Amino acid sequence: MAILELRDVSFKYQLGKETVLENINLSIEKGEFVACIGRNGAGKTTLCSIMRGLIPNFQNGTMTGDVFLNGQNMKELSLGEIAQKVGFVFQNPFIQVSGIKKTVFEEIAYGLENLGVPRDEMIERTNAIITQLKIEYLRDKHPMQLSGGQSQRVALASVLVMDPEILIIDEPTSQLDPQGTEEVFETIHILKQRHKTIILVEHKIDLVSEYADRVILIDQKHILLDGPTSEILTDISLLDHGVSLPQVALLALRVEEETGKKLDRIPSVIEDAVIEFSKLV
Amino acid sequence: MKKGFITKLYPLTKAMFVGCMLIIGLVSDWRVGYLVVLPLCLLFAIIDGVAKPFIIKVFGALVVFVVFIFAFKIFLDKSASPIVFQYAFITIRQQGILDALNQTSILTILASAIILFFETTDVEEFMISLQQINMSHMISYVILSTLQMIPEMFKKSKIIMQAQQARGIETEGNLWLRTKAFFPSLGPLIISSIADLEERAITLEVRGFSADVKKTSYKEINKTPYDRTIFWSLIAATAAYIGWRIFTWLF
Repeated sequence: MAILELRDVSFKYQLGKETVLENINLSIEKGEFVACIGRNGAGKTTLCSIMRGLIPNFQNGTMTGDVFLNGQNMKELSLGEIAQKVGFVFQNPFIQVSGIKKTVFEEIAYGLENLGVPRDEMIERTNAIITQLKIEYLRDKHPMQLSGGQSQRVALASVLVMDPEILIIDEPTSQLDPQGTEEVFETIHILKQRHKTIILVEHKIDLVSEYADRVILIDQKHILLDGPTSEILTDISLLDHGVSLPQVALLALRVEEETGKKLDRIPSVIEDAVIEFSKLV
Repeated sequence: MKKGFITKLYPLTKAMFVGCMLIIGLVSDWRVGYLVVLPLCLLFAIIDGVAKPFIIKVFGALVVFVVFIFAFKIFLDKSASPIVFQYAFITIRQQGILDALNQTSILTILASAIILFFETTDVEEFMISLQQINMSHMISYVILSTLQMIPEMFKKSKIIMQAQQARGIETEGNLWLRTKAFFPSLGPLIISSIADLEERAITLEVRGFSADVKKTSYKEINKTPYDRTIFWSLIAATAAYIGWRIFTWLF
């Protein structure tokens, strides 16, 4: 049984002239790492909000279709129940701050306070996530006085500490430097190893190709492509939808063009590229 | 930060002090406000090392109101009470001064007790103490976020003003120029603050705010035996004072 399933979901914002998403059908299995790609404004964030239940509960508009969480229709679940099962990291980390806590430690622990976690366990879990995300140096800082990158890590920590079954992450590295980006992806990878279900919106295709199991492409209100990462991210049609291919895939295409030789398959990650290119030598 | 005796008290003990002072002020004349409550609050502020911000804030909160009320009461007083001061057309009578003192005394009590409370109380601890007496966490969040968002709004207002400056709008200079620059900044400030509120509601939802469980707290605050003694002493003293006031009115 799918952990998260969308059946014929369409949505139109209250002030929007057109639907943002139309007849979306999507089934995500437990432990899958699904990356959602597409050009800006394609509806990726809207899809995330629907999967988290923020639409239609918090954002006005017309939604049709159903979303099922562990086989149960989300309409039958309370907001609190969804919060415990589905974590959501926003694209803009500054809005993820509660606004009432004075230190990063307290800010991260806030979600656990809301879930009624006992104090000792709260401290233990908060310390663990701070160590995992290597943000010990931010521990006593005021959450409102962080840089973009720091806020992004704290936002991620604030959701991870709640240990949800499903984690929806909307562009978690948009304000991070390359090293910070790599560290966030390593954290996401650890979560995947712990059999968490991860849905990630990300423009950094090279990292998506390295970590995700499955990729969906959203454009023109629909899911246009859905399949294994190595298959989708080597599909040249992605370029027509405003999405780049991974660097190694672009290199492979260029090699084919320059040498006139066909590779057995276009690689999407470095390891595959090494294998394919060695066949040419 | 070193915590003083008053700061260490349980927030509701201090809230009870504020409440008792207000009740006492309502049933007393000006002498209680000016000669008892204000000096008492100042003394507590000195003991806790917050005298400077206390004086600045009390003065800032009261000066405009007190000056206006005094001016109105003194200049509009038509009683036949003894004249205290007379110069040209200005005549200040005893009754005018007494009326002004009586009317400003409750403001003085209100300002001094509340400012002392917030100078010696962590707002979050106050909210936790309210939740401990089963106040809805939603109400306490609204109070807490409002109090903590005020400085953020000031910051945002400055950013908007700087953005206007960057576009060549004069925001500094005389009062007229500053006023002309300030009012147009209110629109974006209010609209962005409303948008922030909507976003914050979603943020809270994501952080499990509406989870139907008993909330816990990282910060631990507990009543001490001192708190219990002070709390009940305040109630007893206020009740005794009111009883005495009623007795003196009746007989």
